[in-house]
Amino acid sequence: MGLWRYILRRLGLAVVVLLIVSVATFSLAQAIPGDPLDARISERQADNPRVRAALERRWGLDEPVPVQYVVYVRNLLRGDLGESIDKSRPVADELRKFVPATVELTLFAMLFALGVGVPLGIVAAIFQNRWPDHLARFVSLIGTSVPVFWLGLLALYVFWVRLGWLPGPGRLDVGMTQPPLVTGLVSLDAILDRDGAAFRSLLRHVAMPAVVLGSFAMGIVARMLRSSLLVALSDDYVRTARAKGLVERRVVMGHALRNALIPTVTVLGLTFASLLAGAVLTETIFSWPGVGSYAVTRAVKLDYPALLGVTLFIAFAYIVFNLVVDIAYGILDPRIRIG
Amino acid sequence: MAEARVADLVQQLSAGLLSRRRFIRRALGLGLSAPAIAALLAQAPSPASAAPRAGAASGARRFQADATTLVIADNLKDTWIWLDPAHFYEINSAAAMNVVLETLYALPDSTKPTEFVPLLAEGMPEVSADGLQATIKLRSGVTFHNSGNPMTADDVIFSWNRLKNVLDQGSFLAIDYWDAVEKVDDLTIKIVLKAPNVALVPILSSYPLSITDSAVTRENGGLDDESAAENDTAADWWNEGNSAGTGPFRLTAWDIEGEVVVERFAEYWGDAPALERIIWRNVTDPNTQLQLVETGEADIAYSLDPDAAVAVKEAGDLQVLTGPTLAHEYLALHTQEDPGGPVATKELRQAIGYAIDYQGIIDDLLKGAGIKPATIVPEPLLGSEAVREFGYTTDLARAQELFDGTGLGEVELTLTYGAGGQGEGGLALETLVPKLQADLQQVNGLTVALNPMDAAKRLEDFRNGKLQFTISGWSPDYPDVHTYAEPFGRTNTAAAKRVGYSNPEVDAALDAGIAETDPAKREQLYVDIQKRLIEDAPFLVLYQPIDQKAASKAVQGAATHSVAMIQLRGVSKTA
Repeated sequence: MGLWRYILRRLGLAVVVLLIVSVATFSLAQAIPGDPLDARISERQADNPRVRAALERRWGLDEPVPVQYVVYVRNLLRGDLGESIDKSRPVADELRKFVPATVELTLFAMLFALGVGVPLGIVAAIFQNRWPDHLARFVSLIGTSVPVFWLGLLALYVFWVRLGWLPGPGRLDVGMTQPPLVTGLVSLDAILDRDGAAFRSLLRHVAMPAVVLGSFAMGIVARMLRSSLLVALSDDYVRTARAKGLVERRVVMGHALRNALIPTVTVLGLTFASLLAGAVLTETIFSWPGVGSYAVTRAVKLDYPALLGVTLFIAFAYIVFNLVVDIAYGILDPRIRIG
Repeated sequence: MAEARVADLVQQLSAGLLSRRRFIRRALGLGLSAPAIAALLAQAPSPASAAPRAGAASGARRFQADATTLVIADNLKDTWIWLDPAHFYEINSAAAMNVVLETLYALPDSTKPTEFVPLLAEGMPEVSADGLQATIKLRSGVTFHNSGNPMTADDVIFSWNRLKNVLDQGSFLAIDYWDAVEKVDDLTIKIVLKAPNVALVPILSSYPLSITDSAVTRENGGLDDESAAENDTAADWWNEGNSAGTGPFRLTAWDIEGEVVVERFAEYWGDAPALERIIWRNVTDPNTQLQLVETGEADIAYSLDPDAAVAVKEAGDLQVLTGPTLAHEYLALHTQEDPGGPVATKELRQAIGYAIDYQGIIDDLLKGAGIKPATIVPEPLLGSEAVREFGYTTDLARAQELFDGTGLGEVELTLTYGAGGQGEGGLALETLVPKLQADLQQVNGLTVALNPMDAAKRLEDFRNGKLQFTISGWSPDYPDVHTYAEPFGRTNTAAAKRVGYSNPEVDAALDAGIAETDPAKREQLYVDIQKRLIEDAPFLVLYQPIDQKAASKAVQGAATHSVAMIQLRGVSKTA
């Protein structure tokens, strides 16, 4: 029960945090110089007061700012995030399209980061200062230091243009119909629809952007795990385990790794949230229809409703991942109690 | 239209785009019986033999080999909004408007800007002697997509009233020029003009004045009365991939983060198109658009920057579609003391006109993809070629002489531009502006400070007439000289107002020009207007870009178009 109460309390706090974020974003948006309608309206119509008035009424921009905020929050409580000024579409609908695409890309990126980063970290720690360690450290250093845009363009050039092993940008092949929308994650929807062709197409399309996006997290995971595993391996309980005559594999995997994972998990949770918010470059290079590139294009147009929607989503993502990390602590280390 | 949808399904199955299981499920959804589905499955060629399986790298490349499908890579996400003509006012998506919807008149080849042809009209308008009434016969036998309803005068009146009352970007086209549109009979309309208007046919070719199915639009939330601005919701229906136009292709899918698809309209009144479908694929990055054409996954790359165009021409594997735009990039100099300061002096503005290295901008920055029109009327619109010799050319000695003649002493100007922005033709302002600064500072005594400003903020300040000296772009509303001469020349209209420009002689010539039916006299009026604008120099046009698009050599008959951007009517592909 303690855990559930804790989760409920944290989610209750999340509402307060989101409210504060909405006030802050709303005020900041008002402080930015420039009129969002100017970014939308054509040269010929810019001076037509009737058209401008109609557009202002449409987005409630003719009301005083406090009234605009109250209306915004009232709509928010009904799940209505308003209408994008630049695209004239409901922001909630837009986010429903863009968020799953980013979540899907980030999940595959994390899969890569963990699938490669964890073994690399373990190998590096076990073979400390020997060639596997040097190799693992080199790979993780590359992962953390190579800029995403460069890696993305290079990957496209080599694996798509030159070798033709993987398809180019986009989420599915040209002309391929998307599976019926259930979760918005094409991979899951394809499985639900038993559409093997779409699933394979998605896997081939997501491979490159996921590796590119996940390379930084991979490097971080490998380095964090290596250093915390090294600390754990020199601890007394490890010496005890070895003294008991346990095989080295069980010592590392069963005893040391579990303790070494705690700092890694913390970093992982926050990295996941930052990947969600920061996949802009990868999404742009690979024409991946995600929330990062959405935020950037809307920001340039001063599209307040869209920006508020994205900010709230990202704040919510951080809150959720912090919560997940805290709960994971308790599972990894029974000494840490929450509630 | 169930047959058409079944045919689509069979086609998708044959192309390997649909699994057998999904084919069966969708066919059942269309109400087909199990034996009918089994028969269709038996008839359809197996996916493996018809085309490489989707998902394989070679499968992704099949489209260039498919002579019935044209794939265009374009940045849909950032530049497309909708195909609903009551809201439409975008540039890139005009290519789709041009094949899905139709206006009464069209300009098939934009290099011949006077050669308009009737499209949904039967012939040219019959204009009354006083020039205030235009009667237009409509084409008979035109049907709308999906509903099969015949097009009548009611549809024309509904579409235009809806455009007028929705009060979005293009509504001025239905507000500014006429008081009423009346139905004479089912296939005849009469336009009651506010003033004689010789540009009526070019105006009626504008995409916002496209004709939509009034019955279907109404059923789906469309309104044509004054409540439309608040309550019209038909745009949402269009954005679900529905179609209510009369063009040779009907819209079947609309996902600007993924793909927009138009399919051949079997009941089209005119010549049947050679292509079965056109797919626009969202690809944000211009280099990737080009790579898609190089790898065979797309046929046309919408954006091609000048450097890439040079490389494509040298490589020779692809064709480059080339043609003039009707856009231009110009300097705006405020003609009033506040905020113009020294640039309120005409001779200083003229000195600036002579100091700029126009050819350097075109040759070095645009790699030749531009021309220099004399003033704000782009070539080849009426009178633009006749004034070519009067335009500013680089002449530093003359610039210095004019500058010294002002007696202003040391002058410092502030050139404000949209930070991170692109000028017309895709030229980065951060590249162009330092070049202008260096050119102008060759005049002794003249210094130019650069002032990068948030793009939206700069536009707001410019529109409010607060900027001394700025750089801006203009793209066409409709292909006629008046749509440039008026906003730049007439007191208190769009561009003139932003630099406080007013010249009563220009105003009078504009009034005469729009009413003058004699072509030679009309040209003379616009030549006079342009000469005045050159002399007064409130605007200095830097260049008019030449549009370039990369296309595979399989594409036949495609051309750039200054309004449609790509003329897709009449395009075919070799296998």
